[in-house]
Amino acid sequence: MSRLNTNYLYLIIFAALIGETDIEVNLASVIPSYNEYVTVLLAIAGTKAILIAMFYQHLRYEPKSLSTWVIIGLVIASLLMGLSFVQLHVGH
Amino acid sequence: MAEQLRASVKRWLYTTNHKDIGVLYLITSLFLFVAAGVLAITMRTQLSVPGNTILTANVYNQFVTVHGMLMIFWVLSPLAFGFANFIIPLQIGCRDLAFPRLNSMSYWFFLFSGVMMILSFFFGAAPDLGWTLYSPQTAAQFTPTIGFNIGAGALILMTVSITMSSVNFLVTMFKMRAPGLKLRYMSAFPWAILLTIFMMLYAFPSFLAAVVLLYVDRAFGTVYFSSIQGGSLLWDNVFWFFGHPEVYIVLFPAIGIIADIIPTFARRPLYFFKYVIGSMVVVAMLSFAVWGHHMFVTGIGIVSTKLYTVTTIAISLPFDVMVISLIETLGMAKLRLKAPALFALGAVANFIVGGITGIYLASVALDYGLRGTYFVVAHFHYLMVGASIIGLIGGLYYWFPKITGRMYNEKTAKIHFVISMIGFQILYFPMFLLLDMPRRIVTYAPDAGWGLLNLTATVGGFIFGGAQLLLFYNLYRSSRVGPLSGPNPWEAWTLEWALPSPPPPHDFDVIPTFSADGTIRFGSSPGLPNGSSHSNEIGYPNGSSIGSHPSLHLEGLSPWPALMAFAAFIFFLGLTIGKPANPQPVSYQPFWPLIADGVILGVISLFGYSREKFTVHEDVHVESWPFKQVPNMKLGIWTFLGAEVIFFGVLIGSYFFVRTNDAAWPPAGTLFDIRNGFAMTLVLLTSSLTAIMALASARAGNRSGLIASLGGTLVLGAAFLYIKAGEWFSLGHSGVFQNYSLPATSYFITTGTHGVHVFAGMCMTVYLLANAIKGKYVKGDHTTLEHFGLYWHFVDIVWVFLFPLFYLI
Repeated sequence: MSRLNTNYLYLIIFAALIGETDIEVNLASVIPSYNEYVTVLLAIAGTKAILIAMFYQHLRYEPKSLSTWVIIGLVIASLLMGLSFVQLHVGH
Repeated sequence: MAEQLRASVKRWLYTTNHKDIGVLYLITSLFLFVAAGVLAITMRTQLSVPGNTILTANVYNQFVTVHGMLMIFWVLSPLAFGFANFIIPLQIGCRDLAFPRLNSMSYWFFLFSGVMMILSFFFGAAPDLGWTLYSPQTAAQFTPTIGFNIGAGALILMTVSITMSSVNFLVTMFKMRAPGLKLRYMSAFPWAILLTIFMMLYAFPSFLAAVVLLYVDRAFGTVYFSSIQGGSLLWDNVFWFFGHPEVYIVLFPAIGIIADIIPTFARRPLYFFKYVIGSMVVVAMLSFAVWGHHMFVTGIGIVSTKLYTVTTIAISLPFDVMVISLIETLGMAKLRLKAPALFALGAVANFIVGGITGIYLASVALDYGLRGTYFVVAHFHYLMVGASIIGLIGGLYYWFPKITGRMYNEKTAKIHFVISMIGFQILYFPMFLLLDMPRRIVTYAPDAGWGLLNLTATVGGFIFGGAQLLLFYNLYRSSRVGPLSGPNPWEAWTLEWALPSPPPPHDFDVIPTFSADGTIRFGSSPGLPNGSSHSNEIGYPNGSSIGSHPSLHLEGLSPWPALMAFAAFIFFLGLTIGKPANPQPVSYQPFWPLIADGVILGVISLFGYSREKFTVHEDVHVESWPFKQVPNMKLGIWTFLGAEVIFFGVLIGSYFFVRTNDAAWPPAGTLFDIRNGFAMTLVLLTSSLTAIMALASARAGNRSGLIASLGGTLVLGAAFLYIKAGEWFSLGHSGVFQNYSLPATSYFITTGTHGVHVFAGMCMTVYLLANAIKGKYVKGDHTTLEHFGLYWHFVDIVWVFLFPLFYLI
């Protein structure tokens, strides 16, 4: 990819991030259910994080071993947080 | 003479050589072993007879706590990492760790953290609530002594040291193995260290976050652990999420050492090697799913209780595989009962007892009865001392000839073993029978019926403690006058034994090559057998062909790591030795002169560190699967960011924990202004764009674009902090301080920690900008910018989650 295209891509990602932030701020008026609202908000935050990691941190262009390394770490961390959540809220 | 002394002091203060640092770790941890042992002996003396008054309850509690912390954090792991520092590069065929100065810094942070922990005795009172630091007793209103704050500072420094070490070892072991040395060819000790590092990397950031939360609660009056919604259950979760893997963190290196020693002295490869390593991998993973068994009595719910019972029983199975493998290795073997082998076997025997008694505690019903009693004390001391310490002492004897070039006295070592094992059993076995004696009590009534067993244990304590004098005497004397050992006195098969004893500063004249048939070659020399299990050949490298090579001598001296650690020590001391400023609620006045000194010294040392010409060569012809195409520094930064994910994960998890427990949480927009959050998000996202544009400009050789983009990043970072500070002041003006409520506590701590990260990123930006103005980074040397970007974008990602959590829901 040429340098010009790369810069263009960075600007597109930036626009997407700003757009998603705008959606987040206005989401409450669209989704009345609190649980759904929180879920969608966190999903949008997740996609923003993925965009930053993929394109600004260049994870998309790194060797597969490195991206797998990062993804495995995040999956394990998420599972552990999930386990804490189960412990707190299930089976009482 | 004076010149020699000066050179020697300079060497040990400035060294970045892995072997020197290994020796420093070993000596420091042995010294702290003595300190922790003296505390233990004094406690045992106090408990030897009913109604004893040698120690007051207050002092006894301090001794219990500091003994536990010293042994777990400042003796067991550092002793193991002393070996790892010295031996691992030799075993995997590299000349040093990936980041030698970082390695030196890890050691100095470790040393000063230990000093700080001991210093806590001299400032009112040391921590006195047990190494588990259970909340809410640790809240300032219940434990106002500043010794506790100093202890927290020491734990933070120690955790920083461990994180640096973990990153360093992980990159080294993944990226710098000798050509042909595939992971599966490594022997048990490197495997054990690799898995220990994985556990450290996930466990210690959780502990760091827990201690930071605890310290902020105490020093700044936040209410995470003193609130009903957080309180003891939150602490239990964040502490034991670290605390149980910590058991394996201190156990694994000893198991690795034992699994290297036993095949050497049995003259057979480790039986079922692959299954042993597989079992260790399973334990490392499962270790993070068993922490709830420490919380059976906290009312965590029946589903969780069942889950943790299953995982706790499950984790014992891979240990069975390890023990069976070690025993099977001995089958039909002509075992040479030298001291390292004796200690290894003794450790296995103790491990079996400690492990089996642990299974009892997986049962909820038994745990209810046993958890607060001396049965548990006996169980974990059989593991921590009986398996870990005894195994590590085996390692001391095993590698003593390699480290010093001299043999220890075998007869004295054997006497040491016999007395140690007898003393150990007399000390700890009676505790299994003290089923009804509560832990951590300072004394007991004569009619309790515990007197005889306690007296027996105390006698055992003196025997065990006294036996260690033989160890120190033997090692000290032998290091001076012991007979020369030669390169391979044990006829062992792992690579370190192919080198002279002690190895030259640069370790290898020629980096060895490992072949699939199990041989090791140095250049064109004939192959030597590799001792790891993939080969069944037995042969004895003599190391004679590997002489010194002065041209490869690596000086590697740097004053800055020690100075930086000292600066951090001074800073944290200033932060934590302040006397209580208010009686109720308790708050502390930091000692500002020391803080200022720490900051100034830190800036000077950072400046010196960054300006120093210290080149670390990356050898391309090495075995580096699975990260062949990833540079060392980039892998290190990603690994560090992994630790950061856990750190922020615990902060955010704690927020979720209290939030989902609190029905009265204020709705979005009522406490924190959404417009502020939105503005900060825009600013930080834009700063990410300028940071990536800076890298793009550098790649394009566009100096003015680089300077403008970096300048933009700096200004945007400052703008973010400016808005944040404005928001904080505005909240303060409305009476919303950090101790106002749980929402305020979680907000101030989480966004404050994030703000510190932004500030650190800005400091890096200033450094980069100064270099960019001088013309750097635009001639293909832009990797530093790329590494900075990884960090800056990570800080941005964290905010991407904080914004909705604090402003929108």
